[in-house]
Amino acid sequence: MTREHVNERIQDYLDHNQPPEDFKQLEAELREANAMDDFEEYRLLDAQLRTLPKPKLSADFTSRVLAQLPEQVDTSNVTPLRKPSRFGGKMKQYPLLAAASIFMLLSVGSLGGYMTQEDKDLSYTNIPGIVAENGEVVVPKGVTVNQDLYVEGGNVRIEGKVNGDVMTVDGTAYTASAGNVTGEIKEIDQLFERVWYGIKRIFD
Amino acid sequence: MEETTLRLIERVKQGDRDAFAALVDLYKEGAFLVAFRVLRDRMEAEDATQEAFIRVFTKIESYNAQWKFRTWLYRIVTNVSIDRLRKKRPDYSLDAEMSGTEGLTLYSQLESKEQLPEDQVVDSEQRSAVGDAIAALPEKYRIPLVLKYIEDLSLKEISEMIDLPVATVKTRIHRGREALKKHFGTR
Repeated sequence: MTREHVNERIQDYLDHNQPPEDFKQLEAELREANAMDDFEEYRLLDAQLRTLPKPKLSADFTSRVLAQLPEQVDTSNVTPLRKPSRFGGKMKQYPLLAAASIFMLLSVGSLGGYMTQEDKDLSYTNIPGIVAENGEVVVPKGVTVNQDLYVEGGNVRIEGKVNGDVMTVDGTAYTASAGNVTGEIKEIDQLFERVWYGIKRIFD
Repeated sequence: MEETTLRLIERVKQGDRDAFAALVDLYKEGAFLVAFRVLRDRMEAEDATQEAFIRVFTKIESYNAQWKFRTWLYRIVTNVSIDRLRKKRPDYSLDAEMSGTEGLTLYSQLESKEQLPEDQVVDSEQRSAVGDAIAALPEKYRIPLVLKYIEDLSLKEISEMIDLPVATVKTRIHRGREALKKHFGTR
């Protein structure tokens, strides 16, 4: 065996983290090649490399990483668990519209409290088959609504099916199971957002 | 561990920060060691590890389960660390507190004739004969070699981490060891 070859044999041995099956044979070969000193030197070096200092991280490392995470992850191709409020996002996206809506809000506010009065009453899209009880609108089991449903001033419980959007103002939409509503479920619970919705309708 | 990791990753993809914290806790020590071996400076390594984890969080969507998560993470850590290593290079202020020390500035080192400030900076990786010899190796041998001695990484994993063929990684590790052996052999 050439010296080069011997070195490669030793190094290959060191590359594997377990002693190979033929360790005895390797030793015999090295002895024969008069390379035991080289082998020992390599092994010593290997041991030293294994025991290089391993400093510890600061204890607060994880919390520092978390503190630095960006607020919003790019979830463009992730299905969100809950539909985020689209109004906050739109506000930032269209500052001009936001300003216009605040103007609208102020002018509506000056018109007096006629809207707040109205909020207390339950009003909803009149569709045959749906019932209103205890301040709640119910789409009973077996009933299919083939249009958008709009409910104001109360909750809506969907036990049947809605082929369209469900929109509530000052109320919550409850569905018996997912997929009962083919369109979107929108919950609006503030006067401001309601005005905004109105504006959005104009622009859409 | 792999299964726990995959479950955590799924949750992180949904934006779950607690799951991310658990993931960081599982892998931080190893990741930090990779950065430290490359950068040889505790504080720099900690910053690099932090940067790498933030990248992991923002790029978690691009993580492909065909890769071992560890390999993917270490690859990011290595890249961040090598970038920093290249940008770093001296610009030391005497007033700056030295990394790895408390309240010690380079001024305190000027008295001593034996140790130059440059050595003191190197000192952050506790001085040892092997440590010095490794530091003197060219980067292309040094990095594969030190990675080899972290958590028994395989040649294949190292090759994936630094984007070099396995055969090249192997040769470089061998050359590195050979150089170190020669360095000590001549004593």
